[in-house]
Amino acid sequence: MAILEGKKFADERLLDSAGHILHAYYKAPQVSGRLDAKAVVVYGEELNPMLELIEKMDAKLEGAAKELFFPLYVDYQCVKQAIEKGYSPIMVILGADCAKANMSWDCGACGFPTCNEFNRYCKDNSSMGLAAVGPNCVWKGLDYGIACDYACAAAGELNVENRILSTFGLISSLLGYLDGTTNNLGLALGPSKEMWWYSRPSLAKWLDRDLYEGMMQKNYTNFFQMFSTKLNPRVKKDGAWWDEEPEISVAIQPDDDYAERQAEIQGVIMESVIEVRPQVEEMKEKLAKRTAVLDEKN
Amino acid sequence: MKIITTTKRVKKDNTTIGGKMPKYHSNEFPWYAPSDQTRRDNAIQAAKLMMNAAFTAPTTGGVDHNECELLWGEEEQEELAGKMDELSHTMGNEKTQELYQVEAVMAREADCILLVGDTRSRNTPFDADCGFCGGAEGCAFLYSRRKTSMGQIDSTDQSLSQTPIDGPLCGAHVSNLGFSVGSALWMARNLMVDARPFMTMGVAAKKLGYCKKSALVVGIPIAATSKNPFVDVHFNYPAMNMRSVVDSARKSYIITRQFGLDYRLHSSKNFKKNSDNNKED
Repeated sequence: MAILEGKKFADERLLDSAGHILHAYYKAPQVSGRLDAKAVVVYGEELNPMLELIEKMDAKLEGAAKELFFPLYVDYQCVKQAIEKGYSPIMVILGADCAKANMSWDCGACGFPTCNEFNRYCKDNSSMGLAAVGPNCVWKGLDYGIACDYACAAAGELNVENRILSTFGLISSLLGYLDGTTNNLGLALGPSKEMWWYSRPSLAKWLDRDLYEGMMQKNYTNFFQMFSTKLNPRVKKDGAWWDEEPEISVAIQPDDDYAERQAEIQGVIMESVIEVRPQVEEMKEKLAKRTAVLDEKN
Repeated sequence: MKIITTTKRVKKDNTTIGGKMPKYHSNEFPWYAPSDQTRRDNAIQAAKLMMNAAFTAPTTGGVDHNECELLWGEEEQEELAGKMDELSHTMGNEKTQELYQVEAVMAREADCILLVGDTRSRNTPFDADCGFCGGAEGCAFLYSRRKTSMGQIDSTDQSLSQTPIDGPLCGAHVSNLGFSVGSALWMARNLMVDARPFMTMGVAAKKLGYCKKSALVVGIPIAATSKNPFVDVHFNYPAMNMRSVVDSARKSYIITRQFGLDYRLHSSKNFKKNSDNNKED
């Protein structure tokens, strides 16, 4: 018999819940019946490359990551703070290759009249966006959504703190945690705390009002803008904005620096990925060896 | 204080009002008989809860993007199944022909059909450069294939709609629809009703005018029957299904019955086998 500390035991058993969640993920109903769903479970030190990538990008961009990659930075801080407090979450990476249209339904939802034309286009034109490699077969994408939802629902049913994250899906995709996939999402499990991924206690530590206000102004421009009878309408903000010169103007103007800055950011992302990715490759080699041993035993 | 019991309130003419609670008797057969209708009504309640589950699914951005419609009733389901049968021939696609035909049978056998559509994937993309639809920046893969005005997609333009589904569609919203369908199915699982997602039912329902705001619709037939009607089906299912077998049995029974004797003159007890007659001899 033994006596166990509840919190630690709950955190240890997060791994069990990951197993149950993956059962739901793999057995989720499909429309196409041909989705090749894949997954890896990442926890402990194996999470480090993901965090390191974000930290490297932040350092290279001189602390601008929180502004440039805001949603990613928010989730990064959630993971980091949990680890610092001693209750590391588990990241279940869920992925699938949605680019293969092999049903021959010729439904047209992808924008091509036939699946063959879609497949031909994909051969030479696949490219990566912020969250996925496209184009994708719509029905495979839908099935992937159903499977991920089943994983979330299973986590919810087990009452495990969780959130599905496209941010860590992107990071795991860049670092190659799951080969042969076009779409990746990260399902964060734990810590055993209330609303860790929703209340986000870490936000209070680093989110300042300027950053928040700037983001609001970018996203809800009209909301903050005076009526635009003038060419340069003022933007309402904290303080006596009416006394100030209209330094912030809302207008569509060419931004010569934008393309340069964007190229710089992309360069930083690629540089950081190249630096961190070997760690993941090493991890995958270990995983392959472990799997081979298990296969032999079976 | 006057006490009024809820069980029996006697009127002057001795009839009771509100005296009896409604009786629910449930049975699976014959189809659409009152007791079968009770069971179907319960399945409809389950479908309504599935509808809500679709709305609460975790989705990228949390933006509302769903519309749901419940299709139920013998006539309505027959209309959908008929459309599916028609599409199986008019689509001109051998690969989908059998899908439409087999799943049309399932549309008839379902207690009701939940339709879950996505209202945004065609006209109001997520605009997040996610890359799902084609990877090009500015969601250009999608916008460049649509008629636009001031950057807005013309929702009335049907010139590209030569295929069963009017694509290309925003992949982020398609994935979100997957989550919604997943949550609806999970609710079905929790409520112990059988359900399965189908492309064919969604396409046919859309053509019949259901989920008008959606470019992509998934049909989820629901059944609360002893045997899940959406799995374990025979080969050549359109010809070899429960309804055709039952109907064939009725036909054979009626034809065969015509060779019966007059029951008033010939009792069943005296209706002996040939071998028995020989013994008596």
